[in-house]
Amino acid sequence: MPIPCSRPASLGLVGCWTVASAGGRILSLGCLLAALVSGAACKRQAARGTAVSPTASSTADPAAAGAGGRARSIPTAQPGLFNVAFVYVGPVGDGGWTYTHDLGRRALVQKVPGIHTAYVENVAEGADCEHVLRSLARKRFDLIVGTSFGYMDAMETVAAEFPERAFLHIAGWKQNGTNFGNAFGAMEDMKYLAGLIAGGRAQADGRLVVGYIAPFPIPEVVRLINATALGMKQTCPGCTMDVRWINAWVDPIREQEAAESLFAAGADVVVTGADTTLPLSVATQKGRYAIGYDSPTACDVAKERCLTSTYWRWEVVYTDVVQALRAGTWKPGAIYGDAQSGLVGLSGFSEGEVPNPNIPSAVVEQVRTILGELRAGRFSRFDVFAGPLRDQTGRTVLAAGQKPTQSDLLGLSGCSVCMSFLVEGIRGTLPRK
Amino acid sequence: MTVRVFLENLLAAGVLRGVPLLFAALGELWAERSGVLCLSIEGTLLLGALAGYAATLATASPFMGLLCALAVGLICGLLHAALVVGLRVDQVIAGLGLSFVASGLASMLGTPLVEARKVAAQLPVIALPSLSAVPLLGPLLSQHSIVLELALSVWLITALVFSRTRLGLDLTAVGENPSAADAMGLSVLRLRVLAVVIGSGLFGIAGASLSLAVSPGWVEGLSAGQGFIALVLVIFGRFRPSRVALGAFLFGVIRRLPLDLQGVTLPDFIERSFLRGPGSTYVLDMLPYVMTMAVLALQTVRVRRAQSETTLRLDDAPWALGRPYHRAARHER
Repeated sequence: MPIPCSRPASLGLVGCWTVASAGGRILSLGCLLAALVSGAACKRQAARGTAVSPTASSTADPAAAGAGGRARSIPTAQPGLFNVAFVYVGPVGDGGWTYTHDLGRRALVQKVPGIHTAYVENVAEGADCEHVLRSLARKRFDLIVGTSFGYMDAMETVAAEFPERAFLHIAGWKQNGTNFGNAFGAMEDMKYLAGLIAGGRAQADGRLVVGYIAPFPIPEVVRLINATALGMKQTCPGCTMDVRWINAWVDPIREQEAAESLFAAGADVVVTGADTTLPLSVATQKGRYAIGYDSPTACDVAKERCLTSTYWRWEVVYTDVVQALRAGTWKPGAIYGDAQSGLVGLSGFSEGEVPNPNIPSAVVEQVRTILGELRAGRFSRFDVFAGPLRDQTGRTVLAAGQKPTQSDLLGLSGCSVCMSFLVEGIRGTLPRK
Repeated sequence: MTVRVFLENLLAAGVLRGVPLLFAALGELWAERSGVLCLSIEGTLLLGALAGYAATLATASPFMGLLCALAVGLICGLLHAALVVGLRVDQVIAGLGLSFVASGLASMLGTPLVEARKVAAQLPVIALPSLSAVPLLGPLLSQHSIVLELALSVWLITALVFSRTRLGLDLTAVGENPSAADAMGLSVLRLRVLAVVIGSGLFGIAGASLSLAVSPGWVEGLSAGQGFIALVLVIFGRFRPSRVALGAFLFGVIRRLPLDLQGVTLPDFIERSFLRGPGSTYVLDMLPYVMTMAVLALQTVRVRRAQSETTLRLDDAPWALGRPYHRAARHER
């Protein structure tokens, strides 16, 4: 994680200074060593190789040794192969968001011959990611994939600097039409189904609160919360939704604390929108229920209590983009994969899978029906958000018969019903900008 | 939700969150009272968390996990002691270095565990339904993980050792004035090694209390900087076991506060202020550090008031903290 990594670095410098001033030590040497040591720490975060290259390059890129004395080694591209670099916001071992992206990377290596991939994990949004992106571009990676919303502006900047490289941003909306595109998917469809399941369970237990662990107040997260609440209202009209903002994509302890806080406030089911699987264990501990996110296998850590997991299969996007790039047919734009594309899914509801027995059977049937409609293209995210739609103050956002547009759902400029409201039935507040 | 239920939930959760902090801070206190700064805390904690979790998976016994975490902590302690006490390596550098090595090792060894996606048993929960009527503390007392008892006994033993026993006095002497202690016939080396090893063992247990009770499960970066909060906690508690214990529980409650506050409606002037919404978590995250600075500043004020008295010092830290002891070298006070 970027935070614990930067802390010891600064702590080391401060500690060094203290010791030096107190005991008359060799200040400069101490500080130099401290900086080196903190560099070693970030090596943990730095790239590890892949099937093709077992280790990352040991030559630290001078550009990467930037702010705060943090140094990380940047992997090198392999000549003669198609090189793809991934920049991750969390650790691959988070079991969720970043883990799922890495599964996509590994599937890409399996499916497409002649490519080399590498990744850099724990890259903080902001200045840190910009110099990682720039270093990767300099190291001649053909495609650079950034997998966190907050990388967007940095990717735009670096893409303009390196017109001969391709950049793919996950979860954003910017693109430049030449070498920088974005990709995301209709996770709201799956969250809607998760909402049906959560509401069904809460209704059966007579504990009419569903909790949601929310990372940041951005349109993507608000859209997913709203979709979950709309689903919940279908199976449990009397339910309310309680939200906890944790202000992080990945923070294992904070995510668990949020789950505990929601259960303590009376939630029967907690739906997580953050990166790790740890909130699911809290459900086991408290004897309540949870719904996982990101990974199709997230529920393995709480088999009985995790009702389902809304997941991503990123290889769908990655193989398409890489194959198009190699064929020279890639047109950077906005990819938005839906249930038909297979990019998003709901664990326990695919062919050959058995849904968690704790989901009421009527709800299982309902979910199967809607999932079938989604896959057949007869039902979509626009139907999920179709009017009549009211926000939490009771104001009508969309009248009966009206449907939102894609830019409404994404909260893009020019939207009329932007994703800056929480729907009726949600108790939490949406932090103002 | 009534105010009482709100406070009960907050206390029950906050106190339990304070347990890993308490183990880690008491471990640090052992080492620092003997004059050794143990910055390896975060890494050892992570490695202990992993060892505890992995051993529990392998043996199906969380107590074996706890023992394993302790063993890993002790080994890290021996290594650290060999470096900073035996070889007199700079304590800041060695501690940070070890911390990074240990957390890197934990990430590396932990990757297969994430892939395996198995669930380890947790340490047992103690249920005392008869105590549920106790005001405010009822829910906590009536049902909590056994780590709470363990942490409180470690606190009690630490407090007794440093206030009532010869060993505590010897350790304090070694931390305050190693030359004098040496001249008195105490083995500075042996005492410091003992303190570092015990302290580091407690870091290991702190880790296991996370992965086997407080934050059950394993993901990379599980400790999320708790080790550094424990480090601050020792300064906050001014190197006294009981104040450290109080601080650990207080910090635990403060961490939980912003989340619980999101679930209630507050008076209008707060609802409209910056304290509402996710920004508030940043503010509350700073609180432990702000409070530590306040404690330090308060001590300065108190020293100034009592200028004539020599018993009050500006800094509670043991005088020899961070200084390796070398018998031949002159140590001036």
